Amino acid sequence: MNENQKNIDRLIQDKLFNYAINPPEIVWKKIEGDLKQEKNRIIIPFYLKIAGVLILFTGLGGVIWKLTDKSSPRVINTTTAFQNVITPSIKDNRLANESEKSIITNVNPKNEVVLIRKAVPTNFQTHKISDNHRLMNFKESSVNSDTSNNTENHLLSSVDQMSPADLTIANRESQSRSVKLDTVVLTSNKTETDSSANSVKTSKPPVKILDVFLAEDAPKNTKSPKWSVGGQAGPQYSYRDVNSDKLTTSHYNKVESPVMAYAGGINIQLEAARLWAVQSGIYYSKIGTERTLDNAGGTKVTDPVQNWGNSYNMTNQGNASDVYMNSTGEITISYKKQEALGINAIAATASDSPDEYHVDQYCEYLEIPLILRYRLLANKLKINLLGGISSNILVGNSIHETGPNNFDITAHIEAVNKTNFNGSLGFGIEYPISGNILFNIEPVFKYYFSSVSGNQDVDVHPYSIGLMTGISCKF
Amino acid sequence: MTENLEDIIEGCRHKNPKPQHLLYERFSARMFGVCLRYAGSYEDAQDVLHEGFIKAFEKIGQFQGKGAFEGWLRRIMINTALEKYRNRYKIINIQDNITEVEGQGFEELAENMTANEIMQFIQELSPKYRLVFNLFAIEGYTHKEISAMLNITEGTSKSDLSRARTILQEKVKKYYNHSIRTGMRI
Repeated sequence: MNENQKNIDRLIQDKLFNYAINPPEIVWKKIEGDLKQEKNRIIIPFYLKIAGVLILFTGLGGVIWKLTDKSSPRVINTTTAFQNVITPSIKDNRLANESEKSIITNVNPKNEVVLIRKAVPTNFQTHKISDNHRLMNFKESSVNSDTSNNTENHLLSSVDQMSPADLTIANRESQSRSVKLDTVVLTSNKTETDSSANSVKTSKPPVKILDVFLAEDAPKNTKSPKWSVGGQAGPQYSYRDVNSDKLTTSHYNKVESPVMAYAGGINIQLEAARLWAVQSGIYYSKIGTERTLDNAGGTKVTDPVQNWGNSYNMTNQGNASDVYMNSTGEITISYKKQEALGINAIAATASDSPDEYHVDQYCEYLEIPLILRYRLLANKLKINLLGGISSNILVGNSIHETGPNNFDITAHIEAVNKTNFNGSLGFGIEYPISGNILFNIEPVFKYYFSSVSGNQDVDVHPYSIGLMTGISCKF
Repeated sequence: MTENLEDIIEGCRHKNPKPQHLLYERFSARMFGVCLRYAGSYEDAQDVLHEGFIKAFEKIGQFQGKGAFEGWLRRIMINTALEKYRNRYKIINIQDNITEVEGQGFEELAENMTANEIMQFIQELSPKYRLVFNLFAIEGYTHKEISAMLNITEGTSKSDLSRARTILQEKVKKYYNHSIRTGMRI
């Protein structure tokens, strides 16, 4: 590059480097509009989206599982069907001895005999049910026998066309599921009933087996409720943890203190496994802090670092607004606005003690939890360990300041994050009130993972300890 | 509300509207000048200014206070303009009629021209040449830096700068001749 070109470049640079011309007003209007839009926009962080998807899939999975549950389909297909059509059930006491009290003989309109055996010989699996000799014996016996102490033979004798394969399968299932094979449903093609005698007479064997099903304790024609819905509310004691390289955190720890607020909401719970349950719902949660003003002398006190923590300038009586800080952000109080609203906004005087002024700051969230519950104690009183995560959407952000001379104003904090994310840990204690209604009480600790402050120089993580109480209904 | 720059920046970090407006008022004229140099039109310059300030307000938390804030803001504007024209840089065919003009005498002509007139000539350059000329001749970036910013080779950057100068000289020359003929001031 020759010298002449350098000179030309320098000349143009001199003329244009600091060239300034006012842009049209419309540019700022557009910027202002975009900034307002940005401020009002709720940005859903990635992890909240993940949490939402998990909640959605958990719910959908629960519904699908509920609809397609086949844990005892044969009970539903046979016994339930019979219950719907059977004429009064007949308990054949003569067929039941003392040790096996629950041999029930039912007859349905098709003259089929249904034998349901609740109490099974403990050595059922050693009966060698596929043994041909036994099966032959079954054919020779009569269901109508009065020999009550020969129950096993009576039952087995009813199995005229029993498929050894079926029983083998049943036996295998009982082993694999580690449960006792305790119920056998048998039917006869042709059966006569004698209701007066409460007995069953089979005029013509053979009897064929229609179904064999398994149960853990006794025949269960109904499933225990797995879903429950409920409501809870309770107080929560909340504060925050402040971390910052630039902010004098000790200053705020000195002037700020915890506050008592409350939370409440509705929940839905699914017992996903024997000891595990998953819970979601929607809650309203209010948390916050309280601070006292550390200077009322009329001098604007500046926090030692980064101009943070400008204490409230009490002599700004004539000003349109005052600005001071707490650990969460900047509090702007507009006196004119307060007065226009008819709210008493008498400014403080220099003689007032700062201790007389209190500022309560509250953040209100809509909370969508995803909680796992593990049953520690499963007696009548149930105790669960619970833990999970929650997505929080800010729905309220308020400041309430009170002081002498009826000083009472409201405001809000600028730049509070619109969303948050917390983890919770606690205990759930349940006690049945009646039927499927349960009373519960849950001490829960929550910690908010995201900073509540929009200021990137400071991390403000609220936490709370709550005591939620409520009722739930199982279905 | 104080109006020193640190307080304004701090207010902007809190996303307060008033400091944001103060910041805009303080820097918008100079930044618009930057945008006009990189943009092909007045309307495009408005768009760049708009996008640039939105980015600045979003990223102001990243400003560490090292160096001048104006420099930081200027880089945002330049990057915004580059993003806008980077793609066009590759596809626009140069239509300028290039005539070699003696460098001798151009300096004197340019010295007598106003900033607005020079700005007009720069805006008339195709994006390809306008970006390189601005980055090298006015911002002071090296060809190596420009090649990285525009994803071109250093040789291309040098070649484009040379052609940009030639075109500018041609335009100034034409403008000068036209002014002489019509009796306009130069």
